[in-house]
Amino acid sequence: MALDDINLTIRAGETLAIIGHTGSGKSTLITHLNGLLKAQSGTVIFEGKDIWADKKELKNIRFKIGLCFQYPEYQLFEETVYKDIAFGPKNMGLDEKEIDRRVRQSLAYMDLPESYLERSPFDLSGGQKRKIALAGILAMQPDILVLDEPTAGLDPAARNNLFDLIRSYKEQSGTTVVFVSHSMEDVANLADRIVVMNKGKIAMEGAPEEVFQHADELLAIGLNVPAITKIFLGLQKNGYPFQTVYTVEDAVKILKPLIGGDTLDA
Amino acid sequence: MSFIEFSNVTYSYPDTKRKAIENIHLTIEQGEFISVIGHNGSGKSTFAKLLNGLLVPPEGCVSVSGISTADEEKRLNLLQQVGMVFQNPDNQIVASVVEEDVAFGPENLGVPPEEIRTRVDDALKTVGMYEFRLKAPHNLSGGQKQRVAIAGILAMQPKCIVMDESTAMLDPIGRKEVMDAVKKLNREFGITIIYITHFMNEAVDADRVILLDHGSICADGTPKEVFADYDAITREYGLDVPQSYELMKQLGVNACILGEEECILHLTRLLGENGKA
Ligand SMILES: Nc1ncnc2c1ncn2[C@@H]1O[C@H](COP(=O)(O)OP(=O)(O)OP(=O)(O)O)[C@@H](O)[C@H]1O
Ligand SMILES: Nc1ncnc2c1ncn2[C@@H]1O[C@H](COP(=O)(O)OP(=O)(O)OP(=O)(O)O)[C@@H](O)[C@H]1O
Ligand SMILES: [Mg+2]
Ligand SMILES: [Mg+2]
Repeated sequence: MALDDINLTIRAGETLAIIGHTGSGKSTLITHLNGLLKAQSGTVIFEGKDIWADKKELKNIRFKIGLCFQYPEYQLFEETVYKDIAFGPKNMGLDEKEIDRRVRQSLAYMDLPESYLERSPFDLSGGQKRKIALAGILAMQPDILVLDEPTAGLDPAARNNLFDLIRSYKEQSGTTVVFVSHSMEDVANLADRIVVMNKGKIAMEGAPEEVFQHADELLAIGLNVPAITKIFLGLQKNGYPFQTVYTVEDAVKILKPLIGGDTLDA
Repeated sequence: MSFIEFSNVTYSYPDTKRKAIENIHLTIEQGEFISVIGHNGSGKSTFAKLLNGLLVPPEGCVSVSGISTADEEKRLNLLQQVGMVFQNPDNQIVASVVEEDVAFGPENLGVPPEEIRTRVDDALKTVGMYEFRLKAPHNLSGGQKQRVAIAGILAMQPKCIVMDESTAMLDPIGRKEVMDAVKKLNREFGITIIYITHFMNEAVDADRVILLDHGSICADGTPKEVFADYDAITREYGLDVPQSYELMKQLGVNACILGEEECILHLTRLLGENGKA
């Protein structure tokens, strides 16, 4: 069974991370969110309604819940980058001018120059394909962004750019974001809440500071804690009673007052 | 003669004017463990494909063990010497049973059946997948699938393995399993490893780091040499640094510390009695 007895509530406006070992059911879970897959039993409720109650509504739900696939190759199929990004907005029935505006804006969000618009999406590097796939989803301006491993294959600058973009997009429109990630550091930096999957079931759920407290349990199911957390666990072992941290920012807050800084050398 | 030699290699894809690889000149010795980093589109995958003759440069020359990759007659020999593992664990496995998948490469090379048997068993043992030899690959985890893919290459007795972001889709344990397997192949069998990655904490595990930027090599040295220039790495090249180094930087400590253990030791020394209850 790819998914077994999942009970999950996603709150409007939150950033929810889904983590779990390979094959734990993360992708299966999120393809249920917009009705790409239908569960054999149980329901998915969106804004108070069963998404499968009305087949016609389902199409609109797919515009409201923008899902970006784990492998961009499965999402890109048009002969130009322009057509690929325009695909979603076109299906929504937007007029040409608005489509054009959204295509260019989304491409710019991904930090790619307009010269990419006429290229074939298949003649791009792995990370560039990922950026086009993300741009295609952003162009629909969905209420909920569902991103399956959105940073896999992105270089660090592109990853930070995507995170900044998600943060400012949320600030402007209150979008709900659900993302899958194998990077514990990314999860600690971006998520308000984490759902941990193990063998098709939800194993843990909570804020990053709650979930990452369970380093041993996470290790046992194929996961880990952020590198900075490991450093702090090491310091604790060496006799420093620091509180455990999950981001470099919080680590600096604790250590800065204790270390002279500036003039210190290795 | 070095194991791998690039002399003045430039490559553009058909119908493009941009150069994906520009004037690369470098040598790699047998047994090196090299990571390759660089922004999206910097030319890492192109570099990888030039290594095993999937792409042949119109300008300059790439040679492996003294054989030019342009030599059509030696193509099969080249593919056997330089194996590649890609990003997606799901589309590298061809057979429906693990051991058949691993046997696929040597079968194509015309290796006699009894030798294939030993090669397959040895390869699976080396990557820690021997108990899974009769399993169906689709029932394996991503990290296990990638190790089967590595075993398939190993059974061809390569001199070099190129990993093109082979851990990008893996969970933390899967990443570690694959990295450990690759380190073992390097140390125990002297297989040259070219490890392409966007994870800086993986890149610093190599003995040598090559940094690509817009198709050219911008830095080539030990991890500490390449990461020494924090500003260049984080601002110019679109990359970042491991969290231990980032922490040092933000604390105003001038030390290129790339690993967690080293970071804990260093902080303990800096803190002394400060901060102890
Ligand atoms: N199309 C399919 N048909 C049959 N089984 C499938 C299919 N897709 C996935 N599975 C199985 O369902 C389970 C959950 O897979 P899923 O892809 O949801 O995992 P995941 O957590 O997203 O893994 P990864 O981190 O590798 O992306 C796995 O055991 C997988 O083998
Ligand atoms: N088949 C192709 N046809 C035309 N141009 C291509 C093709 N493949 C890659 N390119 C271009 O060549 C350049 C180098 O691409 P390459 O795939 O080597 O980059 P990369 O460093 O592997 O990037 P990434 O980190 O995104 O995987 C990029 O600008 C890319 O757009
Ligand atoms: Mg998945
Ligand atoms: Mg690439």
